[in-house]
Amino acid sequence: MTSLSPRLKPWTHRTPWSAWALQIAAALVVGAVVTAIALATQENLADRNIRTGFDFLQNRAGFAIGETLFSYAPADSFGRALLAGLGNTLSVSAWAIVISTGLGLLIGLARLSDNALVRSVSGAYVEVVRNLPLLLQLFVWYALLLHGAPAVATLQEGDVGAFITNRGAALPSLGWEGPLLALAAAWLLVWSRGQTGARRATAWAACALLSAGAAGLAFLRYEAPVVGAFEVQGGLQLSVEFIALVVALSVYTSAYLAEIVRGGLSTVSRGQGEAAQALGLSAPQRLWHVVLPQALRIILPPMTSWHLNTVKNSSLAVAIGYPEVVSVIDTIISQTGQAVEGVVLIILVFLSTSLILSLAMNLYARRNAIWEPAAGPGTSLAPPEFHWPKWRSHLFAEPRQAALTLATAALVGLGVWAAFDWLVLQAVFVGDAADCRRAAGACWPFVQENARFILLGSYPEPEQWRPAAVIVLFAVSLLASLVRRLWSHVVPALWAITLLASPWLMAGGLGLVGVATDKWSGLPVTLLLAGNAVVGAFPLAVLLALARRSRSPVFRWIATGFIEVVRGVPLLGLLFIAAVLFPLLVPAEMTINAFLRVQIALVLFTAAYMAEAVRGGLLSLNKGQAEAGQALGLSRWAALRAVILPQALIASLPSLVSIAISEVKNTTLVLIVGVFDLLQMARLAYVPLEWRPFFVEAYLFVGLVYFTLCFALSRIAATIERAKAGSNASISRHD
Amino acid sequence: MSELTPSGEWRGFTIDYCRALAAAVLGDPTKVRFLPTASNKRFTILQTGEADVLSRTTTWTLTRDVELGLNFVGVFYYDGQSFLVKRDEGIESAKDLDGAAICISKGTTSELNTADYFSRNGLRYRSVVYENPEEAKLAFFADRCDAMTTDAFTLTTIRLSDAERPQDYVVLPDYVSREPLGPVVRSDDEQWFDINKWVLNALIAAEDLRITQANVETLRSSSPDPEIQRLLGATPGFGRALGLPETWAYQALRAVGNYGEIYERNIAPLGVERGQNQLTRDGGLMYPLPMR
Repeated sequence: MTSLSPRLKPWTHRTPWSAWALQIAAALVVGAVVTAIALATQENLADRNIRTGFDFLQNRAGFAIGETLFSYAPADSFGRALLAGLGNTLSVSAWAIVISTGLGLLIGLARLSDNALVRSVSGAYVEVVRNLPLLLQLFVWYALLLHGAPAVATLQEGDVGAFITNRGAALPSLGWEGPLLALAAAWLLVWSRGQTGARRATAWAACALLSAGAAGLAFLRYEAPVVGAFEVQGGLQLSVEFIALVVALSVYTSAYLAEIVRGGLSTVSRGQGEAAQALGLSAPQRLWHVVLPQALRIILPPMTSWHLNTVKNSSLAVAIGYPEVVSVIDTIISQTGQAVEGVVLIILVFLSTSLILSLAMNLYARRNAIWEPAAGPGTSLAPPEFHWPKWRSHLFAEPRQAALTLATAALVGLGVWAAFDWLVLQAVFVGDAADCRRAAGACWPFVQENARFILLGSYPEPEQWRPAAVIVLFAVSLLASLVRRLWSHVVPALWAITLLASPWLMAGGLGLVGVATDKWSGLPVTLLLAGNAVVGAFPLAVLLALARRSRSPVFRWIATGFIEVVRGVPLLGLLFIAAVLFPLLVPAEMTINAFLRVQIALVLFTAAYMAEAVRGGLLSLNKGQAEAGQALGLSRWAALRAVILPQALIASLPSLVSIAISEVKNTTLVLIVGVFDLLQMARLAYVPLEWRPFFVEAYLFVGLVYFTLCFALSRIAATIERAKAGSNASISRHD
Repeated sequence: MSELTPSGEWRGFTIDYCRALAAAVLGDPTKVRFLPTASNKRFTILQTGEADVLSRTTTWTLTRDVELGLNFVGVFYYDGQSFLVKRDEGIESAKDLDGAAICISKGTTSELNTADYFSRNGLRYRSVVYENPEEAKLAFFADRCDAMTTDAFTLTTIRLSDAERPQDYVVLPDYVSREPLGPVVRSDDEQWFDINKWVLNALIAAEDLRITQANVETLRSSSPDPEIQRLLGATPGFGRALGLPETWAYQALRAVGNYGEIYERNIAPLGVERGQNQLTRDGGLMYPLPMR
């Protein structure tokens, strides 16, 4: 808690012992629940003769791992396999963090460019990338690389050099000692620029020595790839899975980092840049020495949490077969049967990684006197204050701008032309799979033939009007939410109808034929999972946020513990726990079907994030509001209900909507635990032989659906923001 | 060995076993709910109680039998692990795959066997592991790997139904391992284990006794053979011992036929020779336990 948090003064009419009684009761309840779960689990494991304990880590693994940072063979232990997986996670995350930061910086700057064309293009990039699920983007990159790059068979056996194939890139390797020394030499060089005299000379001498050493070592360890009988051998090998993962993670995260950078840079007063210019600093110098350091205050906290997200998102590698730590633990679980220990390992790995990363970032922030902004995590970054230059005025103002405009226009033009050519000119609009194969363009018959399958899945045919009705209900509710005039009565009513009717329509009962959840698939599953997660999580989130700020340590610890654990673990890990462990954790008499388990996991996951958003809203509230409530004689709960919560919730509304957008995208992960959502149906659509080449059409189709959904939600968020800014509500942060 | 038809119905060799079980226990072969799972989740779903029997291409191994709290009911298909490769690579046997990339699906014995085989023979390979067989298949046909490995049966069906040109591919003839496939149940229910074991055996014994789906009705009422009488419940006793109606085997055979008929219906159309899966009297490994 910072000193700015509005601490509610103790209301004196509450007797001390009632407060204590409440806390003890809460602790007992939680203790009882935890003990019940532990006992039930023990009983279930014993009943099923499943072993417990972590000794299995010493046993022989027996399985191979496709790529590792250090040597690993199937004869090594499970423990070593785990470390190999961890190494893979860390290396992918490290690359993705570095590249996404650089890319994010570039695009963030492009977003603030004077050139309107550059601004629009980068804006379009950010919008598209942020509104498509990461898993979808990962599948697309992987499929493009797998089918787009040449096969190894096209290479000549015995050739030496650098190769890029659909199995990955094989580049000449210089070992790791040489580049390390070169890095040290470079650092010395940079350091020496700030020194003089003998120190400088010594530094240069050391630098020269290190460079010579680096060159020598590189020469000694030089290894060029050779095309072998089956694969390219030797050199630095980057598998296609690794490349796809790094690219997908970097592109996805860079869009968010770009907006964070944009927000941060635009909060720096314009005068700073102008003063730097008056001092004679060049544009790069202005940015690096004056503007960026000041913007770092705003940029660093959200950027840190995005880097943590990247580490967690690397777990999606399971879907394309890259052996990172979740994938390896998954294999270990299926070989040993010890699911509980495996899940504990996943949680431990990710919590410790988050802890270490955030500690490192905090250390850096403290050393550089960067502190968290006064606002809590719930406030959104406001768009820049100053006036954008007129459209045409800067496009051709000077030769450099003109060149930039022309270059961007040329690139965009090429892209648009290629897309138009593929989508329209060379596309097949009528016909069958054979016609499509003969043509070079898009196969629209694929979409026509498979749209019903992709959208509605394997729902029984005579009842398919029901999932279609669910889709229509959601669509209508979303569209209505965009119109501000309807917000007071129509929109809540529509959403209430949608969320209440949809489970009934899908499941049946009360007059409709019952349909079991294992037949639910496609778009209704995505909509239901996301919608129920958001609505179900909301009350829990409010409770958690209030508990986290409560005076009593018991409530605080329970809430904080829950929130931190859930936020530290990737959603995939949580889904895995729910889908696979739930039945082990409860008495054998209770059974919960797979869909419900996944739904519960999503609700808990969303609740943790929403709790933080609500907490931010509570933090941003003026302290005076609570005091005014007390002065009016309101009880604690009355003040909470009438004064504090409404304002806090309105303040956190934009964050809550962006969490809703994330949930829509997160539903794609359920395909990994066997629930058939929209993305999975798209992938199943091109498994049959006749449709196999048309994966691009499949991904385009569902990409469009996801984009529409997420874009609509983000427009709703923007409308809410405008409504907030317009009304002079009492949410003022200046006392 | 199972597939979901477009009309939403499940069909296949392993499906027929489940239907025989349902017919024997509940009198109705349609009273089965099928839960499709990924390879690496199949044991957990059985262990947690969500499923009662695992009927798919699951290999019987010591570790699985002993360490997972499960029991294997018997063998309903003798298979072996092999490799699917491109014909024009000139690969004759698995030993020619030194340095190759091999597509495997996760959590299967294929993963472990391949590792063992290659280290036993001093060969190297790159393991490319996917979550489920569909992904491994798609990756292999996209040329991500030089070979794909799983049970020979599955490879044959993949070659015939999923390859653009089946004649371009070949399943290597030598088996890298023995893969006896059979149904699996939890080890906490002795009676259910016995029921499964003897329903499976009844199907095999029926073929040995030449009981078919067509003649089971007449044989039940008019056969002089005491073993047939005991099996079909004309002579009561087995049903009571198992805790089932006396017509358990009769219902099962009426629903799906004997082992040979199940094979003919589901596997013969794919062009896979019965080979090891013939009855012992025909030279195979299917040995019917005496129904007595």
